[in-house]
Amino acid sequence: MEDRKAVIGLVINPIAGMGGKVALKGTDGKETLDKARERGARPESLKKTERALAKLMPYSGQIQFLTVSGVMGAALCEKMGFSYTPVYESGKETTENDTVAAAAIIAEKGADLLLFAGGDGTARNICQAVGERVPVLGIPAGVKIQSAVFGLTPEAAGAMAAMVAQGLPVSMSEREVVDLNEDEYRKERVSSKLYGSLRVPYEPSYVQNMKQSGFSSENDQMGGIAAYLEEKMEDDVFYAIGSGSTAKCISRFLGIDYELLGVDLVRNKKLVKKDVTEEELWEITSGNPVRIIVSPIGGQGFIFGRGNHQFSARILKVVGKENIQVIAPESKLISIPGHTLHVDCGDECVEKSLNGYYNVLCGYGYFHSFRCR
Amino acid sequence: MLHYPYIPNSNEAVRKEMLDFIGAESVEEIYAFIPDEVRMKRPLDLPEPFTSEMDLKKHVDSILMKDSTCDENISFLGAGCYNHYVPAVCDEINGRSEFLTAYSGDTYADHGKLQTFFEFTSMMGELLNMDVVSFPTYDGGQAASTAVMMSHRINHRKKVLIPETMNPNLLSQLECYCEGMDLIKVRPLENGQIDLEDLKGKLSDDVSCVFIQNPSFLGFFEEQCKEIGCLAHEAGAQYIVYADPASLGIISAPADYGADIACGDIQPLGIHMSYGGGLGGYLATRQEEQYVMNYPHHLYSIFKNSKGEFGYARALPERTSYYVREKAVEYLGTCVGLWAVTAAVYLAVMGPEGMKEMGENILYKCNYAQKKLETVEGIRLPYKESRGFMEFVINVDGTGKTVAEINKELLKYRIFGGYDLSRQMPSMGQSMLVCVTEKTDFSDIDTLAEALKKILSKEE
Amino acid sequence: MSDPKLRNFHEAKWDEPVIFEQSVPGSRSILFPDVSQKAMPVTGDVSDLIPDHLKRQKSPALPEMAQPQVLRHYLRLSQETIGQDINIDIGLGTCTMKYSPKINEQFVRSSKFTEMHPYQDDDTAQGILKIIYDFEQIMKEISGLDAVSFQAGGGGQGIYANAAVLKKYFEDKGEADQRTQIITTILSHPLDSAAPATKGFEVISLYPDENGYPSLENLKAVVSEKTAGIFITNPEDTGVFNPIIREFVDVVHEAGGLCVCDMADYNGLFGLVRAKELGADMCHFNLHKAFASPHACMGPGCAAQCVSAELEKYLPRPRVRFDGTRYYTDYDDESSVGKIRQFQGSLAAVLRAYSWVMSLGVDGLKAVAETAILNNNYMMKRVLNEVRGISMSWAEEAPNRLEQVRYSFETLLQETGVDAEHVNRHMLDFGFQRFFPSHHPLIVPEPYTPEPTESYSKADIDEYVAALKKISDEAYSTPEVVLTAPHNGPISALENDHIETVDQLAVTWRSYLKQHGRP
Repeated sequence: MEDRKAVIGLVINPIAGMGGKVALKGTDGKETLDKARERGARPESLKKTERALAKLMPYSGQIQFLTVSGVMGAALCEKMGFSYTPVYESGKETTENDTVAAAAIIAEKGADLLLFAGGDGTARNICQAVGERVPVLGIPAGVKIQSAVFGLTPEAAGAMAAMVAQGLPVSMSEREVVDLNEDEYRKERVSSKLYGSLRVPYEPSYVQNMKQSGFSSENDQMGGIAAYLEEKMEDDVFYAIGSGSTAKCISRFLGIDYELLGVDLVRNKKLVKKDVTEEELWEITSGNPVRIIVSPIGGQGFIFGRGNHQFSARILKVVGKENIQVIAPESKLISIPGHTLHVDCGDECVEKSLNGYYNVLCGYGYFHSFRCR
Repeated sequence: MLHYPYIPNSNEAVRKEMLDFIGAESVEEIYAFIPDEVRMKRPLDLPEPFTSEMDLKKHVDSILMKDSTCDENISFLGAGCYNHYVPAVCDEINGRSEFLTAYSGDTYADHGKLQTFFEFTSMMGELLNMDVVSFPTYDGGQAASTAVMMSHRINHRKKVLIPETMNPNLLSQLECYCEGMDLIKVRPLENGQIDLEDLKGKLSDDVSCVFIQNPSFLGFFEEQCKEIGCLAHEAGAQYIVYADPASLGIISAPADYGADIACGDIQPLGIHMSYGGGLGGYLATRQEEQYVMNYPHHLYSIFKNSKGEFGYARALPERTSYYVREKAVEYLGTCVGLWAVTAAVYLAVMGPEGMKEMGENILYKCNYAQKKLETVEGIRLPYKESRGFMEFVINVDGTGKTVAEINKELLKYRIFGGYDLSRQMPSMGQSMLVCVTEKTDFSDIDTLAEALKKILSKEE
Repeated sequence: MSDPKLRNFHEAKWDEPVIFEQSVPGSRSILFPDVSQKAMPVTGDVSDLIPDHLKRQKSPALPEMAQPQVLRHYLRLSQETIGQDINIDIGLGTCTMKYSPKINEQFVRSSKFTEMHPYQDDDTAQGILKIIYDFEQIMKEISGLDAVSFQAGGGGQGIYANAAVLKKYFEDKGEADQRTQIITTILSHPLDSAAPATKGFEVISLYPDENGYPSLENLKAVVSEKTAGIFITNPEDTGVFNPIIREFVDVVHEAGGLCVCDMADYNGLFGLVRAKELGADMCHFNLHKAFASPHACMGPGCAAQCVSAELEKYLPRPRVRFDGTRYYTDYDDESSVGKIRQFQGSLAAVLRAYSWVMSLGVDGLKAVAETAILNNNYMMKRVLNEVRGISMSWAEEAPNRLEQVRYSFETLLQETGVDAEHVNRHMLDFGFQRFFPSHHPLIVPEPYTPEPTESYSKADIDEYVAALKKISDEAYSTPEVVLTAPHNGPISALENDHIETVDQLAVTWRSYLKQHGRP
């Protein structure tokens, strides 16, 4: 047995999940929270975290938790008898600022894994605080669970953490964090944004979306996708590469710089411009052959209109469906509900012209045919 | 409805009860969703069945009676399928219902099956001196094909150097399977051994692998196997050796002379010939990621749980097509699990001494046969300068008869002569590949020699 | 309906050490005669018969045991294995676990078959050649196609062989460079994409729409001048029959591609639907599934590769022919794809399948299909009505199924935290082999795919369903019982049974010892 204990960060958003049962879309914002409490919501996330941590009980001697005082972690560790160090003191009424600050300190101190309990909003806060510095895994406790950074169930997240605690090797995947704009959502308008990526440990049956794919060679698939794209790239054609870590696999393959959350222009396998604006893109599209390489947002299926507004209606209209190459590793594809892609560019006519079937590239020469509606 | 002994629910009362439960009048009603346009409009046109087991047995036995077997004759046939002795324990175990009718059950319900698989790969590992052996594949040719593609995936090169004397069936399999690979033949010397100068001339930094058979298809040892491996490695190529496991009780394992990948057929390990149906391929390597992640097959790994119990599970399954479909390393399906069970039993029965004694039996008898046949007028042993294991070539060009003619005449003596090489390797003239196993008696060899003398001395 | 009493089953648990641990140096299980006296005068000493540098320096470290110990060891391991013969093997769907008649084992174990060498003179092999030839005629009728090869050793190799024929066909037409794509469906067997990919094709997978099968519109969208063909299973693993299959085939044919049917899920179609009526150019049947050859711990199996007359010349060689009086092997291989297997494949499976068909005849085969359908739909109705937490996709669109169903335990997981794998492990405690969840990717979450073939009685199905109900009840009342299963198997749960790196892999005992030392 190794002497060194596994260090696991733990940040619980104690109010996550309160909106769901009272038909609110999330609990981001104090007003909503008060409304939730009025409607009789009770904290769900502590119970769910306890279910997850139960999976760690057999290895409690091998784990040192870094956590937040009180309800954001310490109280539960105390109750379950885990050894822990409080590294941050939260206010009485916990806020997202506490999440951000605590996660940042845990990342600073270094952890084998940062476990957090919450939903997409909490994931966003964690992402803001730690980026890809430490491996992160979410215990699903919120209402909105669209980012692919959560275990399928609290138990699955716990089981994954147990592997880390035992020092077993786990594969890491960069997973996008998306979140709905809750104000818009409550007005029945769906609008979500890509906030960045987290490094998520995964194994066949334990992480939400990876559940579907059951394998760990996602990197190989991305390599296969990139190699195929590279082989088929045509001279003098502009390639507009969409946002997100999947789409950028081609940039990494070509060894060129890229803006993770932006659109980059590539021509003759060289970077023309990083992080272009809609205007810049429009200028080039007029009169030049342009192809678009995009990847749908995991868990949602939007290829346009989420985190890549640079691809505006007028640009998509000119480029046309036949010049759009959608790419995604199989695991990501399978996670899309109804196996259907979506476009939201604000122009119904253009959206209609983009409907139909796409051969989504998911490996070297391998396609899954997905419809777009 | 008639009663069918294999169909327990071929019973009107029971069917009625089940249909009532479903709420259907008839089974046709259930499958009414099959459109008319794809339905068969007439009954199948098949022979009348033998509905009683007794009649069925008579019928099938009467067909099988037309066969005349290697037990009922003296056989000198080999060339990829070998008439070795099968210890009774092998048949006892592989006939067990539990093994015979198991399928893809796993770690828990089929613990014993998985342990047996693990013991198969473990004992093969001892025989081959290699740490990784996969669940067996269809046959040695399939294993060889994967060995070649494995080397391609490792070094991305496309040329494959193979001996001109290679088994033509294996070659045909490689040609069919190894997409995009360029198979280049290396010439033999007079004595059959690979011509190292020709090999050197063909080796370059675009050669993916050098493939040899040892013993060669024509029976002799590739005596320069170590040098061949060194040359392959100097060019950065993988070295693949197709080895007969029956020889490994007395002969160096491929790994001992530098092989990176060993492959071959396990049929010699306790599996009946069954008209060629007893074949199974093995594949083995060192335990390095570049090899391990390039196996398309199941790998069953041993684990110990917290109670100290050993268990077995499929490992690193993300390589296989079961998990990643077209993105897998080649493809994987049902292969020859029962032969893994059988070979495990065989190796356990044989032990190191059994393998050695069998090897020595073969060596003595095969060399005895060469000495005997050499004395027959008109017969030439083209590769007698090279020492061999279980098979050797005799050329009958000097007799004015073809191998086919000779073999037809041998049949009258109830002898199956050696494999006629003239069909697949015409450049060797009228040659036959004679196979002698531990099952062959000295008297069988004497009988062959006498028969050949008579046949060849006849007036034209 | 009252449920039968469930068994308090316990599988044998021998705690049998790995065979190497039982080795006693000097023990022997078999002896060979000493032939040196007889040979040496002619051959000289054995040590001169091997080149020095090729002599094995160190004996292989195989176990050394006496015969009773070897037999006992493997008998014990056999008892820790649950074959179809010994359990109600309804769980392993897509595998068609049916009774393999014992009389057929007598045939394949007869020396009249086992001691046949594939290169024997045809005159000495008229029996086995007749079996091959006659069974080819039978399979031609069952498929409706024109020629059949039995070389492929399993379903995967059958699909591969079809992909090889397909490629050769387009090479001959000069279109191989153009026709680079294969279309398949995501619910077809993974080998329908993996085997063509191994043959060098690009693969496009179609997804089911609201009806449970891909839409014609989708197919039309992906078919092009690049299309070499479609590899399709019908019914797919869900037991849903694609009723527009004819239109699928027509679309592919119009585009110049060929249609290849994977008949792995054929058990419900005997006498009802053939490849010919589907419009297929090629298909394959697994003789170790629908045709009752035992699964044999995953082979040897056999795929009957059936093709149209136009494609016959591409089949692997040799072929078996009949000149009116004599059966003979035909090696002429000008157009053939060459060899898929070294000889003629797993003929034991052919011999058994021949005997099986000859025992049933036309009416019997139809009874097989109809009983498989009846059993499946009876079981489906019971399961969906009586087992809490289970559901079936496309339940409204396709309320009746053919020979199998893909169910989902998603509700059970959501409501109890017990997932399909937990249920699966617990089946053993009632005497059932594990069930087949699904091929990948898991389109249906928490999947479960049983196939109650014609070999199971109503009472068998009732017992099986009773166990499912019991497990579901436990999941809701005492989930820890399910979560910690199996309780009565040969071993208790393995931790981390799927996690290891290449370094931790130990597929041989020597590798294990290098990592962990002697236990």
